[in-house]
Amino acid sequence: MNKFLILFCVEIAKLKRSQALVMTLLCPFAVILLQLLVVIEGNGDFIAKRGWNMYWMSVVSLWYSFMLPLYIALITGLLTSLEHKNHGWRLMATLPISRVQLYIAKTLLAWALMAIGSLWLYLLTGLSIGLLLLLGYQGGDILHWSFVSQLCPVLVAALPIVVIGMTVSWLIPSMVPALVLGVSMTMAAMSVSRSPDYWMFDPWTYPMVATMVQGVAVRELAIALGAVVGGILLLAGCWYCTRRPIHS
Amino acid sequence: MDNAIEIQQLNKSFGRQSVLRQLTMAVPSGAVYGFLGNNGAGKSTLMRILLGLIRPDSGQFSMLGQPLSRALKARVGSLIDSACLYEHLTAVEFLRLMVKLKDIPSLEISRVLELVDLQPDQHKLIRNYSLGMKQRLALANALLGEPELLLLDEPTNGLDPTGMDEIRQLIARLPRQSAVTVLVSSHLLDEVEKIASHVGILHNGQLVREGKINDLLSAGQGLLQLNLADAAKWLPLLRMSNQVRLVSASELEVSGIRKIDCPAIHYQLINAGAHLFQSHFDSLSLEQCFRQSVTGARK
Repeated sequence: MNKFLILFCVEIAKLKRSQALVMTLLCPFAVILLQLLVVIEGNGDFIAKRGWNMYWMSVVSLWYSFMLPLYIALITGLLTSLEHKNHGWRLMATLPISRVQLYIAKTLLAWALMAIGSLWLYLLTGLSIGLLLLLGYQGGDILHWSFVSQLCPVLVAALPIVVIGMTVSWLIPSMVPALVLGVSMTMAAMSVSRSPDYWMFDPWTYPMVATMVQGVAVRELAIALGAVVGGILLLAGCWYCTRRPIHS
Repeated sequence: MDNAIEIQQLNKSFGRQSVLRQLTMAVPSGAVYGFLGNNGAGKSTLMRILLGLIRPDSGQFSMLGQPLSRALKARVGSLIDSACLYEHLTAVEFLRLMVKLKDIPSLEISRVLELVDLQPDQHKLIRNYSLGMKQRLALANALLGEPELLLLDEPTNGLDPTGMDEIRQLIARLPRQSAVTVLVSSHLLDEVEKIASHVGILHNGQLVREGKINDLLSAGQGLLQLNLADAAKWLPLLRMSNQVRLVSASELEVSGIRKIDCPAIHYQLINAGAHLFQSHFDSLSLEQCFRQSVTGARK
């Protein structure tokens, strides 16, 4: 088997019993739970007036604009903490593997977990609608594929955040700086994403703009920026992170 | 290949602190080479350089006749200071990952687990292991794939006396079993004396003594104990050329001499009319040899 593929499979195997896997299941669940509580608390008025379309929209916007950037910060921190905690960097550096490949494998894994978390969110949304239907709530058409189809653009647009999260948590043993950066930039992105002139300078706005903004051209620009900026940052991360000496 | 490791004029500094200074040394193939030094002498820094964890400022080194590369790393096993293990996995899960990355058959897992006596606990989570078990597992990982060269930095750290003894015996057996060369660093002189065939003493980043352990010990200076009648009377005679101490009315101690010098002292005493009842020469222990080397280097 190809060396990189083996390394990627090993990185997946390291997830067994890890908090990263638990968080991938828990974070989307938290979003759905919050939405369920909002619907139940309002006696279903929100669904009756606006239909399941609005329910889907609330879930997806809460996930992509708020929870996803935080989840990425958390997941990149947890993936690298497996190495920081156990002198894993040192162990991996003594093995016949390339550090560049290790960096790419970990980034790819964080990106894959983001995709899995988002798919899990869609599945939970469907299940929660099923539950609400059983409880007697009605809201018209159940399936809204337009929201599901947002997954691919977001995966591309969120690439810079994944790379930045991975790089920060790769370089700093503590998870705190990565989380602080994730939280503060997410908060800032909520305002900056409304600015037609400045949103493009803040990578944390890209997933929001790629899904929430009305204009097709702007959405496509966010996706393209995600790909280009993400690619450049990935190359820079490969170069910088893998050249540092390993003391831990 | 005569030498498994060859190091030439290696230098490494951290900021203004020079850790390795013009270090030149060679580890013969098939040897268990004990690498001694006080804390901060530069032992771990050298191990880290050999494994590619940090880069030297200048100088060259080769292992198994090759410069450091990924292909070479596949032929070298290592255990650096504290064990590097994924504690949320079981021992067998951890070793499965390692055999995949080292590209060796998974049959190796049971062999190394048996070697370090961890087979009964192979399905326990590593986080529930004692420190000694973790160290043994790290050694098992180093032994995967029968490496030609083993780099062990303080391998008995954290082990209880029984565990230390087990690891010592295992390391001492290795060259006979699988033609492996072992470079083992330690500040436990007693430990190195028991397992090493060769010794290098590092002080302030420089190698102050190197060679076969037996040669080092026999070449060193020791202590001669003399039992003789009226010991105080012969004190001035021996003081002329030696460091002598009166221990009791019938015992003198001559220090700082080599075994080869003893007959001359015996002759000198007997010739002067002394009644010599007994003479005993204590050669240096590795600890004394180490102290001498380090003190000599300081001067």
